[in-house]
Amino acid sequence: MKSLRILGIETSCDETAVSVLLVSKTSVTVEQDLVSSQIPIHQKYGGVVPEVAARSHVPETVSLITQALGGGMAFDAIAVTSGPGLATALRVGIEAARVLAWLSGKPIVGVNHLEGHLASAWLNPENRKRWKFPLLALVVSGGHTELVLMKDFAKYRIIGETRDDAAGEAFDKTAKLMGLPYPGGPQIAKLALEGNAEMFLLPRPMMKDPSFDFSFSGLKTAVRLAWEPWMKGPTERQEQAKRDLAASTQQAIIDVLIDKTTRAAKKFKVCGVLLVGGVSANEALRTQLAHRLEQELPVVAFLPSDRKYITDNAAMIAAAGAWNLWRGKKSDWKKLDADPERSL
Amino acid sequence: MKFIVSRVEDWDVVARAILEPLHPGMAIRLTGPLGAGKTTLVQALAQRLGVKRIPKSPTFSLMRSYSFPPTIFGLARLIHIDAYRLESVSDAHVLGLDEELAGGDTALAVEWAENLGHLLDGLACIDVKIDVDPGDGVRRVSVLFTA
Repeated sequence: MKSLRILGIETSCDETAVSVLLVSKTSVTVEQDLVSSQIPIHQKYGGVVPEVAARSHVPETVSLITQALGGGMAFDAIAVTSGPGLATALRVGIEAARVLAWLSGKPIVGVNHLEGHLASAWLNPENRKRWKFPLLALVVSGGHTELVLMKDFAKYRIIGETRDDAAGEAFDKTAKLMGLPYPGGPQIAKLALEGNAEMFLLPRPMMKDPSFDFSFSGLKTAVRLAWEPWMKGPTERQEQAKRDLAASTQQAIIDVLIDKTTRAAKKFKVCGVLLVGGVSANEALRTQLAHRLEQELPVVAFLPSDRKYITDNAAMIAAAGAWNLWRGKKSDWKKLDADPERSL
Repeated sequence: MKFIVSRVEDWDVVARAILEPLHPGMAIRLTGPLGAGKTTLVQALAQRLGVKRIPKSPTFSLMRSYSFPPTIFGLARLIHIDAYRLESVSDAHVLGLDEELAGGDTALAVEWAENLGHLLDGLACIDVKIDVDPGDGVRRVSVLFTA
């Protein structure tokens, strides 16, 4: 089968990213993978600041596209994130992609950001060797917690999702309650290394619920109540308590994620389990999920994304674009617009 | 109006009181600490309005919009906004609220409304303040209408 050279553009939230991928059904070459992170700006504000984000997407997008293409039009198709995300941020990438589609006459496809995360696992050649449908994906990030059943490329069904806060948000907000800086996930993971996860008994929300949905909202109150007595206590005891509470919180989140994922993998008799999204950087989540699958479902392949593709990037968007093009899914550049509430 | 919320189901009583006068173009301002139940209250509002999806936290996406069959006042859409991350009013313009309200069928439910500065000026507001009892976790909710 002929290879496709795909230009990928991603501006849905706080990263501007552009990539060029050479893709066929059996091989992927990442020719360009440029990400201009805006994390330092957001650290200052303690979160994503949309207008700041949208404003700097404009010069960054132009600069990264020029850099990736070297002034030419050497691509066969364009893949751009069209949602979900911030409308104002999404439109920066979409407008750039539309202009390029018009100028080049090449096909364009509006990619779902979530689908991009699914494709991030496929960028790993080891994962591609063991890639066999049906697959189950655990998508965990600041804005997402979903269990997705993949029957084929670009054929998905969400079988479970968070009913309130995303897992990454649970990390960030409980970290905030403990007085830790943003982003809270890595901070909690770091403290947890020296903490005892059994010191605080925190709830495992919805773990026994037969559905595959999640709920992390109640964890905030539980952590606040657990932390309050220590906050007023002597400083040296406070530090160890903070490490223990971080470990206990992390374990509470991980336990639910792993339990539901394993249960879903069994029920839908999948051949492999993907772990993707920003929270998949969490080492404890990676090793514990791998271990649990090995114990209970030894024939199921564990397919986590490479660390370099877990946060927002355009290589995964280009890859998801290829999946769509294989199925004949294209967009009309005249009509392509941001779809902030887009679902899979 | 004052309410005591000790079980999740109790939010429905608060939701009913808020929805009774809710017209398009109005803003529900929600205040309370992290974990107070602001998003839970929006879920109760959405359920009563007949929204099929369950509202999720808009902290990362900043805003999420929910449609439902029109009420007797012609309200057919609720936009849930979390302004927690907005540092200045100029950042808030990115939400495009004027455009969102222009259709005449939309009301807002806003967390951290103070970060929107004067953007809500001129809108009739319903102020919802949630206090959490540190001992038993019971929520004390006050609802106040301002024209």
